Amino acid sequence: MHPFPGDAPGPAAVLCGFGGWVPEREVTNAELADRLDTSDEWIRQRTGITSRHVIAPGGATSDLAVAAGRRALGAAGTRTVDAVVLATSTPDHISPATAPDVASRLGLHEAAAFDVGAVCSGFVYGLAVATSLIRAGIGGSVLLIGADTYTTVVDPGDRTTAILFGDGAGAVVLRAGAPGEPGETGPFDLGSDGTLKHLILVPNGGSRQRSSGALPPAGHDRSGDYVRLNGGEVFKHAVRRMSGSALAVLDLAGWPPDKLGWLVPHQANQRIAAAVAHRLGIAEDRVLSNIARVGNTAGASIPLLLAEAWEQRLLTEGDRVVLTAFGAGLTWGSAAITWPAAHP
Amino acid sequence: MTEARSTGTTQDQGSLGMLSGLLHARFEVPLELLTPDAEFGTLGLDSLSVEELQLMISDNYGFELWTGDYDPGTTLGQAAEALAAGHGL
Repeated sequence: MHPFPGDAPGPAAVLCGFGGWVPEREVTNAELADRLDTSDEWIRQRTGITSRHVIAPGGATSDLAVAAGRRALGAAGTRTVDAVVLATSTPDHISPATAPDVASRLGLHEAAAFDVGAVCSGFVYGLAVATSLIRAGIGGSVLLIGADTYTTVVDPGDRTTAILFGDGAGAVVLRAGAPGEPGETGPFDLGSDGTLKHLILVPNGGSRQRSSGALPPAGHDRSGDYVRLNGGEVFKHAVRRMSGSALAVLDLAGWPPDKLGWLVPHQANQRIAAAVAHRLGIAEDRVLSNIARVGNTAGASIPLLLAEAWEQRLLTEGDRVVLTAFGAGLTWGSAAITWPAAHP
Repeated sequence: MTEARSTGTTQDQGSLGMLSGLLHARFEVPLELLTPDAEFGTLGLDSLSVEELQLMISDNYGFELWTGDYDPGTTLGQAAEALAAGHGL
């Protein structure tokens, strides 16, 4: 092999700031049990959730993304980045993407800004994109936000989904750094299976429904506007894909599972996270979790966990961490990261 | 053939032991409940536990125990017999 400039080690992408935000209004299991045929005990036993936060009427995903992004920028000690990547599947509008609005409201004028749509795997996909932007030299710093408001697409009368989702946003700042530096992101494992898109689906609102004919009459059946979820099938695919992907990324990183510091799984359901940890042989006290307090926040769940860990100084510089996610699509993905140096 | 369908063959016993071990270790089913005549519906499993069990069996055998809907009336003996015979129910 003849060396060429591309062989020269380029910059690494390094995490340097975290921020999280959930809306003020909290909805407890007891409140849901008042209007749905369910109970606090059933919800906790099946999902691990005790409460979730819900966006105020008139609010939007961008509001949460801006709040989390501002905190992450503050934690990183910077006011500028070259790009804003927003992982969301509940954008403010079908068009345009939500990221440019978020960037402008954060004062990041003229930064590259776009959305990544991989649903609950969106943050891990977004982290791969942000890492690639930095490694390729396209940008020296990136604000990556995962934000979703699934309570806006949940049928309030559907006890299987209404109990599950909460709204929130989490954000990280990445900068160019040296390979091996604490906070480095990668390697990654990403995958999808579109033949199973029906397992988690919001049927209406996109081109397939809109091109199908006249607008529905007033008072039409709105069930197609809401998220449909096949819980049993999703459970199996989620456990299998998240554990398989986490093992793949551990192998790519050269980290034996018993040397892993922390597992950060998407907070789909506590039972899924527990089954994944069991298959990987990782003790429960090495698995970050916040689903009890915030529910399934979709693309926000992993960065929300990271932001909490950062604020609580739960992790130590250099700790080996694997993020693993699964979502509608189907999509899945995992990332190996090391924990960055403590903030001042 | 008659022996192969009973729960008394060595293969069946091996599958029964695997199944009982799994149900006890992962799902905390008390050992005294894990008899060949015990029906799955009496073991205190919820639907997510059943899905995880299906996944674990699929990892070990390459097929799921219930190929159709989960049947709570299936006994551990019937399940062990099917696993030993290399097919689902």
